Amino acid sequence: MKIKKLAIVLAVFVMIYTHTFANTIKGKITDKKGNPVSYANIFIKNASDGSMTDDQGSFAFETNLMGQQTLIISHISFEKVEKEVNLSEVSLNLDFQLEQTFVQMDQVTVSASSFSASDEEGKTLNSLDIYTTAGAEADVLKAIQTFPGVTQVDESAGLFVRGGDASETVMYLDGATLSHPYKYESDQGGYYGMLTPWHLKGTYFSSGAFSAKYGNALSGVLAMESLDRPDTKAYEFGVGLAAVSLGFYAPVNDKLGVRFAGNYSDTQALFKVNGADDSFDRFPVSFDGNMNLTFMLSKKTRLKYFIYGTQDEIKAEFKSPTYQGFFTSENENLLNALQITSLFSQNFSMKTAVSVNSFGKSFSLSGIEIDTDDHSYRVRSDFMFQKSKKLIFNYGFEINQIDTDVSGQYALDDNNLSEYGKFVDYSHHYNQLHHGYYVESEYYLSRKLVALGGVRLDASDDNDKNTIDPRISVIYQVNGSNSLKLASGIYHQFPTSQFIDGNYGGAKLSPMKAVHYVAGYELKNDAVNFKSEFYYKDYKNLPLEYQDHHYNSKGFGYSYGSDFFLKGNLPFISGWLSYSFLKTERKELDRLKLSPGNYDIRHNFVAALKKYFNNGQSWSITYKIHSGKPYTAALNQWNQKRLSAVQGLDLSWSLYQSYRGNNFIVYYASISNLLDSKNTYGYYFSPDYSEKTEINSTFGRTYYFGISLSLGKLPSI
Amino acid sequence: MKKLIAMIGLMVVLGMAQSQLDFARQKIDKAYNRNNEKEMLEARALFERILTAGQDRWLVNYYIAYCDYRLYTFQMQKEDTRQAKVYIKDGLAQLKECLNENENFGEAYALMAAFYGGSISLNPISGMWNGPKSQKLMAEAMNYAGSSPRIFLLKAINQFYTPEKYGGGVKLAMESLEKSIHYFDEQEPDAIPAWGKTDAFTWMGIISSRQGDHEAAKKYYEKALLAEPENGWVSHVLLPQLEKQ
Repeated sequence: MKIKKLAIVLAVFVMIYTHTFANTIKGKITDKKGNPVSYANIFIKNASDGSMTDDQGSFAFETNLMGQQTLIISHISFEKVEKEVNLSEVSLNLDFQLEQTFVQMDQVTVSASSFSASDEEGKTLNSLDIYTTAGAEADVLKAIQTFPGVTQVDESAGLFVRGGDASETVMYLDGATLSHPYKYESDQGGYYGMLTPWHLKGTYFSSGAFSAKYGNALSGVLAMESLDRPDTKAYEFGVGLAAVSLGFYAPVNDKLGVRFAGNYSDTQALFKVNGADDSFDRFPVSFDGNMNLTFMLSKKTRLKYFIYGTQDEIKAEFKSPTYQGFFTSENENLLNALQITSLFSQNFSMKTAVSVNSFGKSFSLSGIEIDTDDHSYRVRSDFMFQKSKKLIFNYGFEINQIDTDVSGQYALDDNNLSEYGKFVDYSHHYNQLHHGYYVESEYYLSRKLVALGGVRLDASDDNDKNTIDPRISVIYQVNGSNSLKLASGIYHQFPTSQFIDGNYGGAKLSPMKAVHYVAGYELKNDAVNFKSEFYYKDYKNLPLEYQDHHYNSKGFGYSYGSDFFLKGNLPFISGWLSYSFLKTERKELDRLKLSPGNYDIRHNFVAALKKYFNNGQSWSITYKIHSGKPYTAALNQWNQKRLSAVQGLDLSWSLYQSYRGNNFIVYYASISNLLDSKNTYGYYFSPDYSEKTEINSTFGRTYYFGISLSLGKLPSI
Repeated sequence: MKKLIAMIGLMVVLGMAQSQLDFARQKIDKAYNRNNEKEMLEARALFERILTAGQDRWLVNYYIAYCDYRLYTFQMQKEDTRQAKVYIKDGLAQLKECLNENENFGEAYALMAAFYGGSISLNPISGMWNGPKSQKLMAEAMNYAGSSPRIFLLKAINQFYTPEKYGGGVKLAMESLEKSIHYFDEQEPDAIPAWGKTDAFTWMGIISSRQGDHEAAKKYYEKALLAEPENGWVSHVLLPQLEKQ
């Protein structure tokens, strides 16, 4: 206290002594439009001398300091300004213009064609969005199917983006490419995604003109991030009509956290309750288990290890004009993924992912017997360097090695599976080594104009073909709520192993190519988010069959369309509406002339609405309707006919009950296909197309219910 | 002689910085008591100036965040949710800076928890992810400063706004406020931070009033005024409201 008193006495003395030398700094602070900025703080650095602006933006204060000084002007809503001034005995009159606080647009905004249902920045969907979307069956991929630009072509979870097939969308988990992201994998992707929402802390999805970070994909990208170290300890148990699940997670100490989860699914009860049990000789059964370890090596370096394994099998009825019997499919999938994230400094970070994926599949149908054994080894590193608030560089590389063994018999004519059909022995081993490199920069040309430009180089050792893909997106923010967007880029994808085989494919096939052009408009405020996009895609180098199972790269095609997305978060209801228009034609595979693409689904509308109540209840309703797919009804008349429109109405309900904040129970029930619509997804034909059988939806109106219990150790508030 | 001059110089600088800090703290109290946003902005501006001097930055960051917390409540009164978000965002950034320098400062965790609670009131759905964050931070705060009256005060406010079935409720809030008052009574007179005593009595009064116990409410409001005679919210709003009932 003595020091304080003495200091005050000295300070008073100094102030009196120097008062005669005080000079005045005054002026006015405005924004870029010339409007006065009130309550701005203007002061001399390392000193208490300063003032605040009044309602007219004017300020004035006296100081005894002399010589070179730094003047600071700050306001919570504006960028801070520092200015060197030379103080003498002459009063200073200074005016300043402030720029509003520079808020970077996140990657989702900069990247074209990404639609977000999440309230969290940088995420397309969060777990709650997925879990509470009726008809999504708590599946990440099925929830994304409700977004514009994505079409649900049948009951599968495959992501068919803007006319492309499911293989044209690449998926990542913690930076590692997922070779087999499905359960019950099929040509249409698979019936479910391999990851549940509870594995994930967020997903990012783009349906076109995405950044140079992502390669080997013609149409779309889905990047998922697994959960971090748990903060609390909890046990989870769930039981539903078709599945039982168990989970446990806990922080081991300040640095290490673990998560375990397992799920066993047997659909017999589901099919029996819903009266669709006559289509199976063996009901679909699956098992999956996973472990996630997160370890903080230091405050700035995190290591995450994720191991996931799944098995599934099915023996279901197959009816075509030439064969009536069962098909059998058995899949095994094991993924090991290790991710290291390091923040070297405030401006420089790295993410490296190493993954090994082993996949086995046995499929049999009539004379077809195919065994696939697939191992992929992948490394990927991404670096981010933020030079300033206005300039960010991203760069990185990826190396992918894929070894595939395929053996068995295939049908020479898919339309003839009878005992008189021709089945050919087949056995082959493929090695594919693909590596890619990218660099891109995000540059804020002004507060309203941001550009993301980059280039990507990819190479495949199979055919010595290298590709260079420049990509650019430009966003113009008209005002706080409205923005315009233009994007374009070149995208390549290497043909899969069966196409590049020397004997059965075409060893010299070029990488498939698509050029994307996108223009969009977005309105975003607290209540609504409206997005519209118009796009054109030009395809080249598509595999074209010039004789039985032999291909060249002379295929081509195009697609164009528009996507509209309206998301509302109103007090009485939330959710989103999406509509897509699409036209696509391709000359590829066995289609020897330009004809409608297999997924040329002209109109697609989805309404996904939700209502949350304060008592823990939530209701969700999803209605989907889209034009029928094209199909081929006669020899060489590729995709000239079109199926009837497909529609579905799904309803779900859940009740969340908590006990002292630590434990909770969720009761849930759903009715899928409430209208009991009989949707037809295609036909099987006889070789001369004179006979056909329908491929119909497996489920009519379907009821599902279950309960989920979580016993937690959350710290009490 | 040079040493003596240097020592005197250092004393002057330290003493002035300390007196500026005290002055700025008093300014916050005054602004809060008068429910005056402009004065609160002036107090915040003073702390910003002190921050550039570089001494006890963690404490100055904490006080700027505290100003943000009060300014956030002013915006909520005006229903200016856009500006309220700005203060929440800045408050969290200031507290992050504070904890970077002093990671054991429990009071900062509690204020962070209060900001996340504020985020939930702006967007109830975000309770799904901000609720556990807020709870975790409050547990950290208790871990580092289990006898801080302000931590119990902020905990009580969170409990008051949290439904009973989610681990909150009036009963728990009152228990926390009683602890808060108890720890305020035990607090050293020159302890820093030093805000919140009036709030603890005021919240006790509000809750008692809502429970129909007007006598108790009046007693708590009077205690609040005893702690801070110039508190306009209690003297001009709450007490007259109570007398009308």
